[in-house]
Amino acid sequence: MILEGNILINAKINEVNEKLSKLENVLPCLPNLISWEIIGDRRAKASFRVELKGVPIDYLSRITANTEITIENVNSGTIKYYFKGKGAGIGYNGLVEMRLEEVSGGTKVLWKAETDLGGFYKLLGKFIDVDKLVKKIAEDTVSGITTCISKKQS
Amino acid sequence: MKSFDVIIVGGGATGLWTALDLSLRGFSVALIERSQIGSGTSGKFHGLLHSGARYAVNDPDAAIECINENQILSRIAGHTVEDTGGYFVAITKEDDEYGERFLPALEKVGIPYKEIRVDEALREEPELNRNARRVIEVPDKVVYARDLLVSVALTAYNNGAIILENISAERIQESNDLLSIDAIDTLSGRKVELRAKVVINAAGPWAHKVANAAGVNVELMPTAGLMVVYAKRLTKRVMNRMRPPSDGDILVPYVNTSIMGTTATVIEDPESVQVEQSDIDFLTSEGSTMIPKLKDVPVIRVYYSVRPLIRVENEENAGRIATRGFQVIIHDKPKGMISIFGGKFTTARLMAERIGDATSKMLGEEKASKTRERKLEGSNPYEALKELAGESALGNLASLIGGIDEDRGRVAAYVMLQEMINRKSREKLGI
Repeated sequence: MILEGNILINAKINEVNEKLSKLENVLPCLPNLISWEIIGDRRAKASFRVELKGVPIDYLSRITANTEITIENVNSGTIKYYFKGKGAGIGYNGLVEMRLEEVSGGTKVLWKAETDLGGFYKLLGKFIDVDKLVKKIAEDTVSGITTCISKKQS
Repeated sequence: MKSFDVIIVGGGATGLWTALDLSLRGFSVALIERSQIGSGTSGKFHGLLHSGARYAVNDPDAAIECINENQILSRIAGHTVEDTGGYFVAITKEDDEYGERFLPALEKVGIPYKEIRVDEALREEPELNRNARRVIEVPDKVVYARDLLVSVALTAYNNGAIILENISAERIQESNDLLSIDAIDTLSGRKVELRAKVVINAAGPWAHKVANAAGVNVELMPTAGLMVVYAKRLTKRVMNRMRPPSDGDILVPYVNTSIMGTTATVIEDPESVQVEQSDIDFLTSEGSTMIPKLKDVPVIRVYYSVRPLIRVENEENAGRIATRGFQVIIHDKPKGMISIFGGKFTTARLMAERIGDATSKMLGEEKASKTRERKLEGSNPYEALKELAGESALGNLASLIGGIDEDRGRVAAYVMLQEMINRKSREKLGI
């Protein structure tokens, strides 16, 4: 699944790039975060609690997802976050790419998220709208990061 | 070929309570279980008799059902229940915020509760996290699974039900106006043929196999929940995390151990589940947030409870009883078959009451359920065994009576009672 969007941050491009290039700046901004730790150079582990609204059994309505995240600066204006993990025993992986553009008023962040959620569609697709769930998580994540980074600037 | 009004396939809590409910209504009932009663999900949960508090915010109807059943079971099966009480504990600011919704919800659904000062809670439960922000006491209890399941089986048997273990249903089909079950005795390999006006599929995570045996296609998503058993009982009460229900938020004191649960993992095959160390570590970590000492107590055992999420093909063509937490499907074909999916141990009696109502109607005789008030037999399993099968049935258990290990031997006595019920049932049917 591929999702795209853009968002404006009221800060200079090099400052935004500096903030987004460090996992320790980005991770605390993620929604539904339970815990995180840096485990290596540009690598981190994070746990999230995710609501699966629509699954008709209470023990599956809120699950813990454990994820490993790796960051890569492609060039001075593009940052890639690779993630892979498991939630409720189902594996997932993907990539979030943020491309920065200087605009009047600040920095435009063009984001793109690609996810492989085959297991979720196969196992939970009959009970929940997986596309809707992923869209919400992606949007909340990008919004969380950029709002948080904006606050750090001010 | 033996004929009954109802045959129930599956010897877990749902099947056993249904056998009791229908036999008390006066129907002739046989229950067949491919392994031993309580060997599936009903023998692998965490032992909690819910007060319903856990569901008060998100599912108030389920909460009301739980508190009602909690009170009923305490009344009719007091010998299987330990009135431990429970605490809901807020550790973080987010837990505290949930508390603001939690208390009004408890009030609204009528679950008795009391806010306990943290220093008082620490005196009552010295192993509680000293940084707890808020503690609410609720009437959670612990239920001894084997004791309850065998008491239900015994009461059903003494009211005319046949309870058969090691009998596996291989094919279910319409036969004139009845349903016929071709079954196999899994010990001897002999065929067993049974017939009934109604067949109830209460086989839990294997309900899809029973449905398939009847030519009904069922999509199964089995889920597994891990329970971790620690070597020491660290609390008097059940401990719950004060937050929306999720994994790793219940610690149950079970006899002299502590049981932490649970997780939610989608699995491929309910017959084989791999234990992941990361899940054990996760539960220990979550549990030790409430009870810090938990991480220092050795893990003595882990087990998985398998719970199915099932979709029935063409279920829009079948009658449904919509209720909370479980599905009851009255199939169009084969006519006379009912399948049950889901459910909780705490509300199994209520599920059986509703299934009994539906079955009663199908059989054209509207008889009322009696399980709500009927005290279960088997409060003294040693005596129950003697009454059922004579003094000699006690065997070596007789040496425990009146001695130091009489109480520790109770579970063995229940298992013996279970064996005797099966044996007597087989004698009655000549198999």
